[in-house]
Amino acid sequence: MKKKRNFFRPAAAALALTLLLAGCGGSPDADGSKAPDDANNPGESSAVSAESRKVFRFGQAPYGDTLDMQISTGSLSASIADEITESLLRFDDDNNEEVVLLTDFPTVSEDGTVYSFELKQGVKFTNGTELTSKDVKFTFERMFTPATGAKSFSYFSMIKGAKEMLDGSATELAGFEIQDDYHFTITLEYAFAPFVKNLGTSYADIFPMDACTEAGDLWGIDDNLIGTGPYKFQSNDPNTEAVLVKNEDYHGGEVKLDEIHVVYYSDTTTKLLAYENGDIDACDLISTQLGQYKDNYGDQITAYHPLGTCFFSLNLDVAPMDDPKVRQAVSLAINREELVEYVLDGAGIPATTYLNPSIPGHDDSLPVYEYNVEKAKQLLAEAGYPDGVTIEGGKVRQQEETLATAVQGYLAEAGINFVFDVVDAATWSSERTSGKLAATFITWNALYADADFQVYNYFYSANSGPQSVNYSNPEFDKLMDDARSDTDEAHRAELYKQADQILSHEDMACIPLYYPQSQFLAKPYVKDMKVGNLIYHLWNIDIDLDAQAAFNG
Amino acid sequence: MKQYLVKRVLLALGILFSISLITFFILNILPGDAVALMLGDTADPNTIETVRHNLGMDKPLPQQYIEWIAGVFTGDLGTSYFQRKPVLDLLATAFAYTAKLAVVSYLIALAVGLAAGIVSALNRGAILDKGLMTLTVVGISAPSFWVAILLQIFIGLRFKAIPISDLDSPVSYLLPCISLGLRYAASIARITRTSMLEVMGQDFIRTARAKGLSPLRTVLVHMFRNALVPIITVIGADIGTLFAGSMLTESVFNIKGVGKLLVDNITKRDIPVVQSCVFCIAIICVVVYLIVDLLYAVVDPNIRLGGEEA
Amino acid sequence: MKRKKEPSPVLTYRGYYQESWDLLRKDPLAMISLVIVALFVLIAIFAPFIAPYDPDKQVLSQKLMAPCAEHWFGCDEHGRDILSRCIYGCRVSLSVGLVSQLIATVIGYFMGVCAGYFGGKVDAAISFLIQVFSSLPDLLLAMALMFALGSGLVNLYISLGVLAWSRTARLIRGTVLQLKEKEYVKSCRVDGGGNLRIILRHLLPNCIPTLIITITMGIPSAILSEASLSFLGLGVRSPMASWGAMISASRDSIRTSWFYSFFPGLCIILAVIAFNTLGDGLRDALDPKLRK
Repeated sequence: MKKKRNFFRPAAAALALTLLLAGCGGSPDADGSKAPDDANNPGESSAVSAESRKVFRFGQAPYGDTLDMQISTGSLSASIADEITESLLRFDDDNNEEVVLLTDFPTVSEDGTVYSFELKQGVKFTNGTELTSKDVKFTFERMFTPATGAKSFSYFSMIKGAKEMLDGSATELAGFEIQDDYHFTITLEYAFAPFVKNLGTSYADIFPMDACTEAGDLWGIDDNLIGTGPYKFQSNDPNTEAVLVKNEDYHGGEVKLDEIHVVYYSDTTTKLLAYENGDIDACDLISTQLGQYKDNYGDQITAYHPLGTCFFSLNLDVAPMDDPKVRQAVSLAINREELVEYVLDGAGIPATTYLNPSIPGHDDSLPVYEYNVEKAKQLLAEAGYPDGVTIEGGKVRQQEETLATAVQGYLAEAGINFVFDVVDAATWSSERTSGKLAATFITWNALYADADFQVYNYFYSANSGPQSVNYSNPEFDKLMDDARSDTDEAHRAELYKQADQILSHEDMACIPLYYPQSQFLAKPYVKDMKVGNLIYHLWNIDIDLDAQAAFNG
Repeated sequence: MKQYLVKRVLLALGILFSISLITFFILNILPGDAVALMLGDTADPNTIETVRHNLGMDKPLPQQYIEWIAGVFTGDLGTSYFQRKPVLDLLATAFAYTAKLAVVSYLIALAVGLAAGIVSALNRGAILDKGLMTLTVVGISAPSFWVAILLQIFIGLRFKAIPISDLDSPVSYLLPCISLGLRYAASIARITRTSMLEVMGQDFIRTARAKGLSPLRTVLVHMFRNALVPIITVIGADIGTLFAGSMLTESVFNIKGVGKLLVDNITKRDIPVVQSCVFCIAIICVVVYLIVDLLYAVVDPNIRLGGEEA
Repeated sequence: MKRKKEPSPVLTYRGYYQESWDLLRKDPLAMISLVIVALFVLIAIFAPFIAPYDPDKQVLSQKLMAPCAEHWFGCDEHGRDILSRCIYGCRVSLSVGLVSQLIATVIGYFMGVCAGYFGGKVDAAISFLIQVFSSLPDLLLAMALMFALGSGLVNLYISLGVLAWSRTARLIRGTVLQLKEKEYVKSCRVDGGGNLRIILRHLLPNCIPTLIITITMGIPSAILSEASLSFLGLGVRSPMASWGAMISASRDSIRTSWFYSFFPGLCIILAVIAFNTLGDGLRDALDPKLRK
């Protein structure tokens, strides 16, 4: 062992040998991993070879399980599904409704319960079949068939006969009458002012009867989705990438892009690096990472405000939150301006009331909720907790953990000990539905600029149980009922304004924190990229090929 | 030998059966419910019931378990509640990733560990030896997910050619495999060094050297003969931790392997998927332990008889 | 492989531990690690006096502040002092290590002794259980238990403790099998000594060296498991500081803040190395087979 020289050379040889071994170990798998690359290549090479083809590459998180918008409610699903399946109407970039598959807006009977529709003629699904009234009827009946397991039905359950289908006593939708292939009427159980708006959401996407029936359970899984939209699937692997190609026969005129590639990244950091590398042309940018990109990519960031409110949701059945003074104290303990500036990197607007500023009924005259720790302590003392109080049983999902921790820190300053667990989605859902969840955070987004969804679905006494709020105020409920059937928009807004005042100021039934801001990154050659309330309107997008060449060159 | 083989295989089957039973039990007492998540907060009771029925969730638990275990024998692991695809397909895709990650990591670790161990033993007491051995101590103690994050920060973010997520191109294996393989490389290096030194101190090596035979070759041949049992033991013991480690590595590097499939689906209570993931990991562990045991029996027949030994 | 060695002398006299301590003292690595372990214990106990700041005090304007004179390790995403949180994290890691190992030891000792002492069907059943529990990665079972029990310190103790027992049981079973053949145990049995008396009076003292080693070696793996669970979001409750949870939280800001993940990881490594080295030293000092 002393003669090192004797050993040294063989040792080097051994090292080389083992490294060689390592190389061998790596190679079979390198071959294995080539296969998916090769599979991707044809698409890419064809895109490259035809110079003038317009290909837009968009990065987003995987959409989850399905693109069937009756089952999924996620905006990630909707951004893709809306390029393929269309509803009768839709919302443009400024949240105004426009007709898509109809010749005009439906006419309404005097009592506000019967709507008459006329379909555009000659609209074809991408499988070649023509859109007729029976497809629309099929779509709605499918939604109310229990076996479908649809989530979307609740937006349309005011249609006559929906309840009977849901409880299994009927298999046909009584309120849906077909006059001929292009004319049909829908009858409601009661007048419901925002009904036509609900029809403009992704949840009312119209499916082709034959293809959808044939696909059965697999409708919306992978590339099993056919609609009347501007694009159709070439392929879709929910783990890696979707390739959408132009629908040459689109009823709405020439489609701008040849291909849309939606690349799925479950890791936001990777997605952003891909954007920096030029692997994708655009992607969303979450608020927690805004700070890291603001400085270098400021001119490529577009911010927008979805129609939602992020709030601290408290269970009014559980002590000590059953005391309005405690709830007021909670609100006073939180510095919303600082919260937005630091926790969100400025990506939000500190809340002034519950209703989002873009929704009619929002009171513009209100200041941001007061931040006053001393006053909070005083209120607690008045409520009988001079030495502080504990809020137990909070449960938040992982995505709200940072926010919850920040709020926890604020509350601690005022002597409120907020105890919470981070739980998974399944636990959170069942706890909340049971009405026993003590406190959580949620961003409640309206589907469109109307207060009904934002307020009624969460806080109306009959609805607030499954949300674990258990709020009940007859005065508030009365305002909700009146507003729902009122067809005068200005008057409705006034009613919602009053209701909101009761909800989020007098009763403090929830603690509004901020109105979120979302943002996306897009290269300068991407034209007309717009988002309508969290759902990307990719159908508008065009690519300036010259600018693209200049940018890359 | 035959009798021993039969006994061991039966034992392995018993263990697998118990694990599947325990898993099934734990999964069914977890709070939360897939259907509540699926249908949201406004679901109609009849819809809930229908969906539960369609998914087979309304059957009594023993029946569900028996149907699942019967499916195992026919290659039918059920259908995912959410993704609506056969669990077997999901599992196969995910398993390919995990296997690639684990095998490549371990082979690299084996190569690096052996090399480091040999170099260390040959330079016993020198700075190189001390340096390498210090590194192995750090390597064994560092949490793999922490190493992974540091690699992302100091390599992935600096060199854009090196991806910090996914397993697709050969270069994308670099960071995940280093972070996962590090601790195995370290422990293999230590064992190799010890075995080497043990053999090198023995008389026949000195004799061989005196005869002018290549000492390294002699040492290596003898070392491997001597170290066979400890090496088999280590590899056997590493399999379980390799899977646990790959679960964390998959999470950091966003690799769609079994670990990620498991974590993603346990949060949704997609029980058929989770049950099958756990079972898949259990099968691999148990089979590897079985092979290790049988190898012992082949390498050292005494072990077979000394079943009562600690 | 030299198993047929003459059994060690009965280990109940004081001299044995004295001798072990003398051996341990001569091992410089073990002594250094003992000092580091002692330091960690002191830091954990006196955390409130050592930590420069309240670990939960958030100052949002100091969000992700880089290390500086006031904040040696920088600040986290809520502007909390990372050094202080590392110091308090020490409490979590050490207590999880210790308590979970104590739980594992109680269960493991009981199971191991029963298996070894009674033999036959009891042994077969317990051995089978040991095999079942050691056939799955620890982390996987711990995850399942944490999902079932929910997050929190006490649940961490339980999950990690319940899962670590099989290792202890296996070793104790082996030790007891050897002891059972000893003359004094046999004679005690002949004299009509009750099982419980034999288990507690004669077997336990002789198992203590084994237990000390398994506990010392078990603590670092429990610390790593805690860190892994916390990293997966299955650990302590906010705002309690845990090294693993800190590393997990740092992932959102790796592009700008290397220090956030770096320092908690360093703490884990240091603690694990110290316990592992100490364990090695103890094993060398306590294991009579190695004593020559």
